Amino acid sequence: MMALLLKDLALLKQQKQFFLVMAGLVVFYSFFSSGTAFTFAIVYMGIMMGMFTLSTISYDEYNNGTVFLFTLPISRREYVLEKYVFAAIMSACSTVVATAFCLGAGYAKGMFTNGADVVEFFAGGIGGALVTVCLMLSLMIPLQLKFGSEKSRIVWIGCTLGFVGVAVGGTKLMRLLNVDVGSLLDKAGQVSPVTVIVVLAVLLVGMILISCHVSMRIMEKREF
Amino acid sequence: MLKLTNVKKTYKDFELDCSMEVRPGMITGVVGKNGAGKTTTLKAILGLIRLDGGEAKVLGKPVEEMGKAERAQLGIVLADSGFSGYLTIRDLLPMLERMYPKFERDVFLGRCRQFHLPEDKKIKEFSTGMRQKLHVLFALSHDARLLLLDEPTAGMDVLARDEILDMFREYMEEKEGRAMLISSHIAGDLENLCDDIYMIDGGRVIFHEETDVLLGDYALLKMTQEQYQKIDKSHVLRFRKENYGYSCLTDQKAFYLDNYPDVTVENNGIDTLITMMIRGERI
Repeated sequence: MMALLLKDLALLKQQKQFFLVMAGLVVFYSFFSSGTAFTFAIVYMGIMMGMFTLSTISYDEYNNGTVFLFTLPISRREYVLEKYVFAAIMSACSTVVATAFCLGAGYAKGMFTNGADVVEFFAGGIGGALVTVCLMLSLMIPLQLKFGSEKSRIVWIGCTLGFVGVAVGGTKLMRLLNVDVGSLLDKAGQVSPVTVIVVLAVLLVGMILISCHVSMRIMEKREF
Repeated sequence: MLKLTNVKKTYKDFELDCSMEVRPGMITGVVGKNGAGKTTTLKAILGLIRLDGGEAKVLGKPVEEMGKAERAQLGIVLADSGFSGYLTIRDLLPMLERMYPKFERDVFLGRCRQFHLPEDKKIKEFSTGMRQKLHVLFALSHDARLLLLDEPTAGMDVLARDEILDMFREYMEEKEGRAMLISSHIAGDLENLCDDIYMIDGGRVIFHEETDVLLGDYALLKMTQEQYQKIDKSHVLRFRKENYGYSCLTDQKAFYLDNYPDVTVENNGIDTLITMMIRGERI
Protein backbone atom coordinates (compact mmCIF):
# COMPACT_ATOMS: atom_id res chain seq x y z
CA MET A 1 0.00 0.00 0.00
CA MET A 2 2.93 2.30 0.66
CA ALA A 3 3.73 2.32 -3.08
CA LEU A 4 0.23 3.58 -3.89
CA LEU A 5 0.38 6.18 -1.13
CA LEU A 6 3.67 7.43 -2.58
CA LYS A 7 2.03 7.63 -6.01
CA ASP A 8 -0.88 9.67 -4.67
CA LEU A 9 1.47 11.94 -2.75
CA ALA A 10 3.36 12.50 -6.00
CA LEU A 11 0.05 13.43 -7.65
CA LEU A 12 -0.65 15.81 -4.76
CA LYS A 13 2.77 17.36 -5.24
CA GLN A 14 1.88 18.07 -8.88
CA GLN A 15 -1.06 20.16 -7.63
CA LYS A 16 0.93 22.01 -4.97
CA GLN A 17 0.25 25.46 -6.42
CA PHE A 18 -3.51 24.97 -6.14
CA PHE A 19 -3.25 23.81 -2.55
CA LEU A 20 -0.88 26.63 -1.61
CA VAL A 21 -3.48 29.12 -2.86
CA MET A 22 -6.12 27.30 -0.79
CA ALA A 23 -3.87 27.40 2.28
CA GLY A 24 -3.31 31.14 1.66
CA LEU A 25 -7.07 31.70 1.61
CA VAL A 26 -7.43 29.80 4.88
CA VAL A 27 -4.74 31.93 6.53
CA PHE A 28 -6.39 35.08 5.19
CA TYR A 29 -9.83 33.93 6.33
CA SER A 30 -8.65 32.91 9.79
CA PHE A 31 -7.15 36.34 10.46
CA PHE A 32 -9.78 38.57 8.87
CA SER A 33 -13.10 36.84 9.57
CA SER A 34 -15.08 37.28 12.75
CA GLY A 35 -17.45 35.23 14.94
CA THR A 36 -18.23 31.57 14.18
CA ALA A 37 -17.49 32.01 10.46
CA PHE A 38 -13.92 31.59 11.68
CA THR A 39 -14.28 27.77 11.77
CA PHE A 40 -15.22 27.66 8.09
CA ALA A 41 -11.50 27.57 7.26
CA ILE A 42 -11.10 24.27 9.12
CA VAL A 43 -14.09 22.62 7.44
CA TYR A 44 -13.05 23.95 4.04
CA MET A 45 -9.47 22.67 4.22
CA GLY A 46 -10.61 19.27 5.53
CA ILE A 47 -13.06 18.89 2.67
CA MET A 48 -10.68 20.12 -0.04
CA MET A 49 -7.89 17.76 0.98
CA GLY A 50 -10.23 14.81 1.58
CA MET A 51 -11.88 15.33 -1.79
CA PHE A 52 -8.47 15.29 -3.47
CA THR A 53 -8.71 11.50 -3.10
CA LEU A 54 -11.41 11.59 -5.78
CA SER A 55 -9.06 13.55 -8.02
CA THR A 56 -6.39 10.85 -7.61
CA ILE A 57 -8.91 8.28 -8.90
CA SER A 58 -9.49 10.53 -11.94
CA TYR A 59 -5.74 10.88 -12.45
CA ASP A 60 -5.39 7.08 -12.25
CA GLU A 61 -8.12 6.71 -14.88
CA TYR A 62 -6.61 9.32 -17.21
CA ASN A 63 -5.87 7.81 -20.63
CA ASN A 64 -7.05 4.35 -19.56
CA GLY A 65 -4.35 4.27 -16.85
CA THR A 66 -6.25 2.07 -14.39
CA VAL A 67 -5.85 -0.90 -16.75
CA PHE A 68 -2.08 -0.63 -16.57
CA LEU A 69 -2.14 0.05 -12.83
CA PHE A 70 -3.81 -3.31 -12.22
CA THR A 71 -1.11 -5.17 -14.14
CA LEU A 72 1.39 -4.00 -11.48
CA PRO A 73 1.92 -5.98 -8.26
CA ILE A 74 -1.06 -4.55 -6.35
CA SER A 75 -4.42 -6.10 -5.52
CA ARG A 76 -7.73 -4.42 -6.21
CA ARG A 77 -8.65 -4.53 -2.50
CA GLU A 78 -5.36 -2.84 -1.67
CA TYR A 79 -6.07 -0.11 -4.21
CA VAL A 80 -9.46 0.63 -2.65
CA LEU A 81 -8.16 0.52 0.92
CA GLU A 82 -5.35 2.90 0.00
CA LYS A 83 -7.86 5.48 -1.25
CA TYR A 84 -9.64 5.52 2.15
CA VAL A 85 -6.35 5.63 4.05
CA PHE A 86 -5.09 8.45 1.82
CA ALA A 87 -8.33 10.39 2.36
CA ALA A 88 -8.03 9.92 6.13
CA ILE A 89 -4.40 11.08 6.17
CA MET A 90 -5.10 14.10 3.96
CA SER A 91 -8.18 15.19 5.92
CA ALA A 92 -6.50 14.69 9.29
CA CYS A 93 -3.33 16.57 8.31
CA SER A 94 -5.17 19.50 6.74
CA THR A 95 -7.63 19.76 9.65
CA VAL A 96 -4.77 19.80 12.17
CA VAL A 97 -2.90 22.47 10.19
CA ALA A 98 -6.01 24.63 9.63
CA THR A 99 -6.98 24.28 13.31
CA ALA A 100 -3.49 25.36 14.39
CA PHE A 101 -3.72 28.45 12.16
CA CYS A 102 -7.17 29.34 13.45
CA LEU A 103 -6.05 28.76 17.03
CA GLY A 104 -3.08 31.06 16.52
CA ALA A 105 -5.26 33.68 14.85
CA GLY A 106 -7.87 33.42 17.64
CA TYR A 107 -5.27 33.98 20.36
CA ALA A 108 -3.70 36.83 18.35
CA LYS A 109 -7.08 38.51 18.16
CA GLY A 110 -7.77 37.85 21.87
CA MET A 111 -10.89 35.79 21.20
CA PHE A 112 -10.21 33.17 23.88
CA THR A 113 -10.24 33.82 27.60
CA ASN A 114 -10.02 30.20 28.77
CA GLY A 115 -9.66 26.58 27.54
CA ALA A 116 -13.43 26.01 27.46
CA ASP A 117 -13.79 28.83 24.93
CA VAL A 118 -11.25 27.15 22.68
CA VAL A 119 -12.91 23.71 22.88
CA GLU A 120 -16.37 25.14 22.24
CA PHE A 121 -15.14 27.27 19.38
CA PHE A 122 -13.27 24.58 17.50
CA ALA A 123 -15.43 21.52 18.23
CA GLY A 124 -17.87 22.84 15.65
CA GLY A 125 -15.15 23.31 13.03
CA ILE A 126 -13.37 19.98 13.50
CA GLY A 127 -16.64 18.05 13.98
CA GLY A 128 -18.13 19.75 10.91
CA ALA A 129 -15.09 18.91 8.78
CA LEU A 130 -15.07 15.29 9.97
CA VAL A 131 -18.77 14.66 9.38
CA THR A 132 -18.82 16.40 5.98
CA VAL A 133 -15.68 14.65 4.68
CA CYS A 134 -16.83 11.21 5.90
CA LEU A 135 -20.31 11.67 4.40
CA MET A 136 -19.07 12.88 1.04
CA LEU A 137 -16.26 10.39 0.61
CA SER A 138 -18.33 7.41 1.80
CA LEU A 139 -20.72 8.11 -1.04
CA MET A 140 -18.40 9.54 -3.67
CA ILE A 141 -15.58 6.94 -3.64
CA PRO A 142 -17.83 3.96 -4.51
CA LEU A 143 -19.78 6.10 -6.99
CA GLN A 144 -16.59 7.19 -8.77
CA LEU A 145 -15.17 3.66 -8.84
CA LYS A 146 -18.43 2.36 -10.27
CA PHE A 147 -19.35 5.08 -12.76
CA GLY A 148 -16.10 6.97 -13.41
CA SER A 149 -15.54 10.65 -12.68
CA GLU A 150 -18.00 12.11 -15.25
CA LYS A 151 -21.02 9.90 -14.65
CA SER A 152 -20.49 9.81 -10.89
CA ARG A 153 -21.07 13.58 -10.69
CA ILE A 154 -24.48 13.15 -12.28
CA VAL A 155 -25.30 10.26 -9.93
CA TRP A 156 -24.07 12.41 -6.99
CA ILE A 157 -26.42 15.25 -7.96
CA GLY A 158 -29.22 12.69 -8.21
CA CYS A 159 -28.37 11.35 -4.73
CA THR A 160 -28.29 14.88 -3.25
CA LEU A 161 -31.68 15.70 -4.76
CA GLY A 162 -32.95 12.36 -3.43
CA PHE A 163 -31.78 13.21 0.12
CA VAL A 164 -33.42 16.64 -0.06
CA GLY A 165 -36.61 15.00 -1.32
CA VAL A 166 -36.60 12.46 1.51
CA ALA A 167 -35.97 15.21 4.11
CA VAL A 168 -38.75 17.49 2.79
CA GLY A 169 -41.13 14.54 2.34
CA GLY A 170 -40.33 13.23 5.82
CA THR A 171 -41.01 16.60 7.43
CA LYS A 172 -44.33 16.95 5.59
CA LEU A 173 -45.29 13.41 6.54
CA MET A 174 -44.56 14.12 10.21
CA ARG A 175 -46.74 17.24 10.04
CA LEU A 176 -49.53 15.20 8.46
CA LEU A 177 -49.18 12.66 11.28
CA ASN A 178 -49.22 15.53 13.82
CA VAL A 179 -45.71 14.76 15.04
CA ASP A 180 -44.23 17.83 16.76
CA VAL A 181 -40.85 18.26 15.01
CA GLY A 182 -39.90 21.20 17.26
CA SER A 183 -40.24 19.20 20.46
CA LEU A 184 -38.27 16.32 18.91
CA LEU A 185 -35.43 18.72 18.14
CA ASP A 186 -35.64 20.15 21.67
CA LYS A 187 -35.30 16.63 23.08
CA ALA A 188 -32.34 15.94 20.79
CA GLY A 189 -30.72 19.12 22.06
CA GLN A 190 -30.93 17.82 25.64
CA VAL A 191 -28.81 14.73 24.87
CA SER A 192 -25.35 14.99 26.44
CA PRO A 193 -22.47 16.00 24.10
CA VAL A 194 -20.60 12.79 24.93
CA THR A 195 -23.56 10.66 23.78
CA VAL A 196 -23.83 12.71 20.58
CA ILE A 197 -20.12 12.27 19.86
CA VAL A 198 -20.21 8.52 20.55
CA VAL A 199 -23.33 7.95 18.40
CA LEU A 200 -21.90 10.12 15.64
CA ALA A 201 -18.53 8.33 15.74
CA VAL A 202 -20.18 4.89 15.58
CA LEU A 203 -22.37 6.01 12.67
CA LEU A 204 -19.43 7.50 10.74
CA VAL A 205 -17.14 4.52 11.30
CA GLY A 206 -19.96 2.16 10.26
CA MET A 207 -20.64 4.22 7.16
CA ILE A 208 -16.98 4.24 6.13
CA LEU A 209 -16.65 0.48 6.66
CA ILE A 210 -19.75 -0.18 4.55
CA SER A 211 -18.51 2.24 1.88
CA CYS A 212 -15.08 0.56 1.80
CA HIS A 213 -16.66 -2.89 1.53
CA VAL A 214 -18.94 -1.75 -1.32
CA SER A 215 -15.98 -0.13 -3.14
CA MET A 216 -13.95 -3.35 -2.85
CA ARG A 217 -16.84 -5.36 -4.30
CA ILE A 218 -17.15 -2.88 -7.17
CA MET A 219 -13.45 -3.11 -8.01
CA GLU A 220 -13.30 -6.90 -7.69
CA LYS A 221 -16.19 -7.25 -10.15
CA ARG A 222 -14.88 -4.63 -12.56
CA GLU A 223 -13.49 -5.74 -15.91
CA PHE A 224 -11.11 -3.70 -18.00
CA MET B 1 5.74 -20.16 -18.44
CA LEU B 2 2.35 -19.26 -19.95
CA LYS B 3 -0.39 -21.63 -21.01
CA LEU B 4 -3.88 -20.85 -22.23
CA THR B 5 -6.22 -23.80 -22.61
CA ASN B 6 -9.50 -23.10 -24.39
CA VAL B 7 -9.73 -19.66 -22.78
CA LYS B 8 -13.19 -18.29 -23.50
CA LYS B 9 -14.62 -14.81 -23.18
CA THR B 10 -17.90 -13.79 -24.72
CA TYR B 11 -18.97 -10.23 -25.47
CA LYS B 12 -22.08 -9.08 -27.29
CA ASP B 13 -20.38 -9.05 -30.69
CA PHE B 14 -17.14 -10.95 -30.10
CA GLU B 15 -16.07 -14.31 -28.76
CA LEU B 16 -12.56 -15.33 -27.72
CA ASP B 17 -11.70 -19.02 -27.75
CA CYS B 18 -7.97 -19.32 -27.55
CA SER B 19 -5.25 -21.84 -26.67
CA MET B 20 -1.56 -21.02 -26.74
CA GLU B 21 1.70 -21.67 -24.93
CA VAL B 22 4.88 -19.70 -24.30
CA ARG B 23 7.77 -21.84 -23.13
CA PRO B 24 10.85 -20.70 -21.17
CA GLY B 25 13.55 -19.21 -23.37
CA MET B 26 11.08 -18.57 -26.21
CA ILE B 27 9.93 -15.38 -27.87
CA THR B 28 6.41 -15.94 -29.12
CA GLY B 29 4.68 -13.50 -31.47
CA VAL B 30 0.98 -12.86 -31.88
CA VAL B 31 -0.32 -11.38 -35.12
CA GLY B 32 -3.77 -10.57 -36.40
CA LYS B 33 -5.76 -7.70 -37.81
CA ASN B 34 -7.31 -5.02 -35.58
CA GLY B 35 -10.08 -6.45 -33.42
CA ALA B 36 -8.85 -10.03 -33.92
CA GLY B 37 -8.57 -10.64 -30.18
CA LYS B 38 -4.89 -9.98 -29.41
CA THR B 39 -5.54 -7.42 -26.68
CA THR B 40 -8.42 -9.46 -25.21
CA THR B 41 -6.05 -12.45 -25.01
CA LEU B 42 -3.50 -10.32 -23.17
CA LYS B 43 -6.18 -9.03 -20.79
CA ALA B 44 -7.19 -12.62 -20.05
CA ILE B 45 -3.56 -13.47 -19.27
CA LEU B 46 -3.31 -10.49 -16.91
CA GLY B 47 -6.58 -11.17 -15.09
CA LEU B 48 -8.10 -7.89 -16.27
CA ILE B 49 -11.19 -9.73 -17.51
CA ARG B 50 -13.03 -12.71 -16.01
CA LEU B 51 -12.90 -15.87 -18.08
CA ASP B 52 -16.13 -17.54 -19.17
CA GLY B 53 -14.34 -20.86 -19.62
CA GLY B 54 -11.00 -22.59 -19.97
CA GLU B 55 -7.84 -22.00 -18.00
CA ALA B 56 -5.05 -19.45 -18.11
CA LYS B 57 -1.86 -20.32 -16.24
CA VAL B 58 0.87 -17.73 -15.78
CA LEU B 59 4.22 -18.75 -14.23
CA GLY B 60 2.59 -22.03 -13.26
CA LYS B 61 -0.36 -20.48 -11.41
CA PRO B 62 -3.98 -20.02 -12.54
CA VAL B 63 -4.39 -16.34 -13.37
CA GLU B 64 -7.09 -15.91 -10.67
CA GLU B 65 -4.55 -16.95 -8.02
CA MET B 66 -1.75 -14.69 -9.22
CA GLY B 67 -0.44 -12.65 -6.31
CA LYS B 68 2.00 -9.80 -5.92
CA ALA B 69 5.03 -12.10 -6.15
CA GLU B 70 3.97 -13.44 -9.55
CA ARG B 71 2.97 -10.02 -10.87
CA ALA B 72 6.36 -8.62 -9.85
CA GLN B 73 7.89 -11.14 -12.26
CA LEU B 74 5.94 -9.81 -15.24
CA GLY B 75 7.10 -7.03 -17.53
CA ILE B 76 4.10 -5.41 -19.21
CA VAL B 77 3.67 -3.02 -22.10
CA LEU B 78 0.11 -2.29 -23.22
CA ALA B 79 -0.86 -0.61 -26.47
CA ASP B 80 -3.42 1.81 -25.09
CA SER B 81 -2.64 2.20 -21.41
CA GLY B 82 0.22 3.17 -19.14
CA PHE B 83 1.34 5.13 -16.09
CA SER B 84 -0.82 8.09 -15.08
CA GLY B 85 -0.02 11.01 -17.38
CA TYR B 86 0.05 13.34 -14.37
CA LEU B 87 3.22 11.72 -13.00
CA THR B 88 6.83 12.25 -14.05
CA ILE B 89 9.54 9.60 -14.35
CA ARG B 90 11.04 10.92 -11.11
CA ASP B 91 7.64 10.49 -9.40
CA LEU B 92 7.50 6.85 -10.48
CA LEU B 93 10.79 5.84 -8.88
CA PRO B 94 9.75 5.56 -5.19
CA MET B 95 6.59 3.69 -6.19
CA LEU B 96 8.44 1.21 -8.44
CA GLU B 97 11.15 0.63 -5.81
CA ARG B 98 8.44 -0.37 -3.33
CA MET B 99 6.54 -2.55 -5.79
CA TYR B 100 9.41 -4.45 -7.38
CA PRO B 101 12.04 -6.06 -5.13
CA LYS B 102 14.43 -6.32 -8.10
CA PHE B 103 13.83 -2.87 -9.59
CA GLU B 104 17.15 -1.54 -10.99
CA ARG B 105 16.77 2.19 -10.50
CA ASP B 106 20.12 3.21 -11.95
CA VAL B 107 19.81 1.00 -15.03
CA PHE B 108 16.28 2.32 -15.63
CA LEU B 109 17.31 5.95 -15.26
CA GLY B 110 20.41 5.41 -17.40
CA ARG B 111 18.29 4.00 -20.22
CA CYS B 112 15.75 6.82 -19.89
CA ARG B 113 18.62 9.26 -20.43
CA GLN B 114 19.95 7.15 -23.34
CA PHE B 115 16.54 7.51 -25.03
CA HIS B 116 16.24 11.22 -24.11
CA LEU B 117 13.21 10.79 -21.86
CA PRO B 118 12.93 13.83 -19.55
CA GLU B 119 12.74 12.89 -15.88
CA ASP B 120 10.77 15.92 -14.71
CA LYS B 121 8.21 16.26 -17.48
CA LYS B 122 4.67 14.94 -17.02
CA ILE B 123 4.16 11.73 -18.96
CA LYS B 124 1.05 13.15 -20.62
CA GLU B 125 3.32 15.64 -22.37
CA PHE B 126 5.38 12.82 -23.93
CA SER B 127 4.85 11.82 -27.57
CA THR B 128 3.34 8.37 -28.27
CA GLY B 129 6.78 6.99 -29.08
CA MET B 130 8.32 8.43 -25.89
CA ARG B 131 5.54 6.96 -23.74
CA GLN B 132 6.01 3.57 -25.34
CA LYS B 133 9.79 3.75 -24.82
CA LEU B 134 9.22 4.55 -21.14
CA HIS B 135 6.99 1.51 -20.69
CA VAL B 136 9.40 -0.77 -22.54
CA LEU B 137 12.32 0.45 -20.40
CA PHE B 138 10.24 -0.09 -17.28
CA ALA B 139 9.29 -3.64 -18.39
CA LEU B 140 13.00 -4.43 -18.76
CA SER B 141 14.01 -2.86 -15.46
CA HIS B 142 12.98 -5.35 -12.77
CA ASP B 143 14.29 -8.77 -13.87
CA ALA B 144 10.89 -9.92 -15.17
CA ARG B 145 10.72 -13.60 -16.10
CA LEU B 146 7.87 -13.13 -18.53
CA LEU B 147 7.48 -10.11 -20.81
CA LEU B 148 3.98 -9.46 -22.15
CA LEU B 149 4.24 -6.79 -24.81
CA ASP B 150 1.32 -5.40 -26.79
CA GLU B 151 2.55 -3.23 -29.67
CA PRO B 152 5.74 -2.24 -27.77
CA THR B 153 7.29 -0.33 -30.69
CA ALA B 154 4.16 1.65 -31.65
CA GLY B 155 4.95 5.28 -32.52
CA MET B 156 8.74 4.80 -32.49
CA ASP B 157 11.03 5.86 -35.32
CA VAL B 158 13.11 3.22 -37.14
CA LEU B 159 16.29 3.82 -35.14
CA ALA B 160 14.55 3.68 -31.76
CA ARG B 161 12.69 0.54 -32.86
CA ASP B 162 15.95 -1.19 -33.79
CA GLU B 163 17.52 -0.24 -30.46
CA ILE B 164 14.51 -1.53 -28.54
CA LEU B 165 14.46 -4.81 -30.47
CA ASP B 166 18.17 -5.26 -29.72
CA MET B 167 17.42 -4.65 -26.05
CA PHE B 168 14.75 -7.38 -26.16
CA ARG B 169 17.27 -9.83 -27.63
CA GLU B 170 19.92 -8.89 -25.04
CA TYR B 171 17.37 -9.22 -22.25
CA MET B 172 16.47 -12.73 -23.37
CA GLU B 173 20.11 -13.76 -23.67
CA GLU B 174 21.10 -12.20 -20.33
CA LYS B 175 19.42 -14.89 -18.23
CA GLU B 176 18.08 -18.35 -18.95
CA GLY B 177 14.43 -19.13 -18.50
CA ARG B 178 13.03 -15.77 -19.51
CA ALA B 179 10.18 -15.70 -22.02
CA MET B 180 8.33 -13.14 -24.09
CA LEU B 181 4.91 -12.83 -25.73
CA ILE B 182 4.80 -9.96 -28.18
CA SER B 183 2.16 -8.61 -30.52
CA SER B 184 2.98 -6.11 -33.25
CA HIS B 185 1.59 -4.72 -36.46
CA ILE B 186 5.10 -4.43 -37.81
CA ALA B 187 5.77 -7.83 -39.35
CA GLY B 188 9.49 -7.19 -39.70
CA ASP B 189 9.85 -6.81 -35.94
CA LEU B 190 8.36 -10.23 -35.34
CA GLU B 191 10.13 -12.03 -38.20
CA ASN B 192 13.52 -11.03 -36.85
CA LEU B 193 12.70 -11.57 -33.19
CA CYS B 194 10.26 -14.41 -32.61
CA ASP B 195 10.86 -18.14 -32.30
CA ASP B 196 7.24 -18.97 -33.08
CA ILE B 197 4.16 -17.10 -34.18
CA TYR B 198 0.44 -17.42 -33.47
CA MET B 199 -2.13 -15.81 -35.71
CA ILE B 200 -5.48 -14.86 -34.23
CA ASP B 201 -8.58 -14.03 -36.19
CA GLY B 202 -12.14 -13.64 -34.93
CA GLY B 203 -11.00 -14.58 -31.41
CA ARG B 204 -9.51 -17.91 -32.51
CA VAL B 205 -5.98 -19.13 -33.18
CA ILE B 206 -6.00 -19.94 -36.89
CA PHE B 207 -2.30 -20.57 -37.29
CA HIS B 208 0.76 -21.50 -35.22
CA GLU B 209 4.19 -22.14 -36.62
CA GLU B 210 7.87 -21.74 -35.79
CA THR B 211 9.27 -18.62 -37.49
CA ASP B 212 12.13 -20.54 -39.17
CA VAL B 213 9.64 -22.93 -40.76
CA LEU B 214 7.36 -20.05 -41.69
CA LEU B 215 10.12 -18.15 -43.47
CA GLY B 216 11.82 -21.25 -44.90
CA ASP B 217 9.03 -23.59 -45.99
CA TYR B 218 6.06 -21.31 -46.60
CA ALA B 219 5.79 -19.45 -49.89
CA LEU B 220 3.42 -17.52 -52.08
CA LEU B 221 2.82 -19.12 -55.48
CA LYS B 222 1.75 -16.91 -58.35
CA MET B 223 0.30 -18.53 -61.45
CA THR B 224 -2.01 -18.13 -64.41
CA GLN B 225 -5.49 -19.65 -64.51
CA GLU B 226 -4.23 -22.53 -66.71
CA GLN B 227 -1.34 -23.29 -64.34
CA TYR B 228 -3.77 -23.23 -61.41
CA GLN B 229 -6.02 -25.82 -63.09
CA LYS B 230 -3.10 -28.24 -63.55
CA ILE B 231 -1.18 -27.76 -60.28
CA ASP B 232 -1.21 -30.28 -57.40
CA LYS B 233 -3.18 -28.45 -54.70
CA SER B 234 -2.57 -30.90 -51.87
CA HIS B 235 -0.07 -28.49 -50.27
CA VAL B 236 -2.03 -25.28 -50.91
CA LEU B 237 -3.34 -23.81 -47.66
CA ARG B 238 -5.22 -20.81 -49.11
CA PHE B 239 -5.80 -19.36 -52.59
CA ARG B 240 -6.95 -16.01 -53.95
CA LYS B 241 -8.20 -14.96 -57.35
CA GLU B 242 -5.94 -12.22 -58.73
CA ASN B 243 -5.82 -10.08 -61.92
CA TYR B 244 -3.10 -12.30 -63.36
CA GLY B 245 -4.67 -15.59 -62.27
CA TYR B 246 -4.24 -17.04 -58.78
CA SER B 247 -2.00 -16.65 -55.74
CA CYS B 248 -1.67 -19.59 -53.37
CA LEU B 249 -0.13 -19.97 -49.91
CA THR B 250 1.81 -23.18 -49.42
CA ASP B 251 3.83 -24.72 -46.60
CA GLN B 252 5.84 -26.89 -49.06
CA LYS B 253 7.92 -24.38 -51.01
CA ALA B 254 10.48 -26.99 -52.11
CA PHE B 255 7.79 -29.24 -53.62
CA TYR B 256 6.57 -26.50 -55.97
CA LEU B 257 10.09 -25.28 -56.77
CA ASP B 258 11.07 -28.82 -57.82
CA ASN B 259 7.91 -29.82 -59.67
CA TYR B 260 6.54 -26.57 -61.13
CA PRO B 261 9.48 -24.48 -62.40
CA ASP B 262 7.08 -22.30 -64.43
CA VAL B 263 5.21 -21.12 -61.34
CA THR B 264 6.54 -18.01 -59.61
CA VAL B 265 7.52 -18.87 -56.03
CA GLU B 266 7.97 -15.89 -53.70
CA ASN B 267 9.38 -16.09 -50.21
CA ASN B 268 6.72 -15.66 -47.59
CA GLY B 269 6.60 -12.95 -44.95
CA ILE B 270 4.20 -12.46 -42.07
CA ASP B 271 2.27 -9.74 -43.92
CA THR B 272 1.61 -12.12 -46.83
CA LEU B 273 0.68 -14.86 -44.38
CA ILE B 274 -1.86 -12.62 -42.62
CA THR B 275 -3.40 -11.52 -45.92
CA MET B 276 -3.64 -15.04 -47.31
CA MET B 277 -4.86 -16.69 -44.10
CA ILE B 278 -7.59 -14.11 -43.57
CA ARG B 279 -8.56 -13.04 -47.08
CA GLY B 280 -7.74 -16.28 -48.90
CA GLU B 281 -10.08 -19.25 -49.41
CA ARG B 282 -9.55 -22.85 -48.46
CA ILE B 283 -9.32 -25.43 -51.25
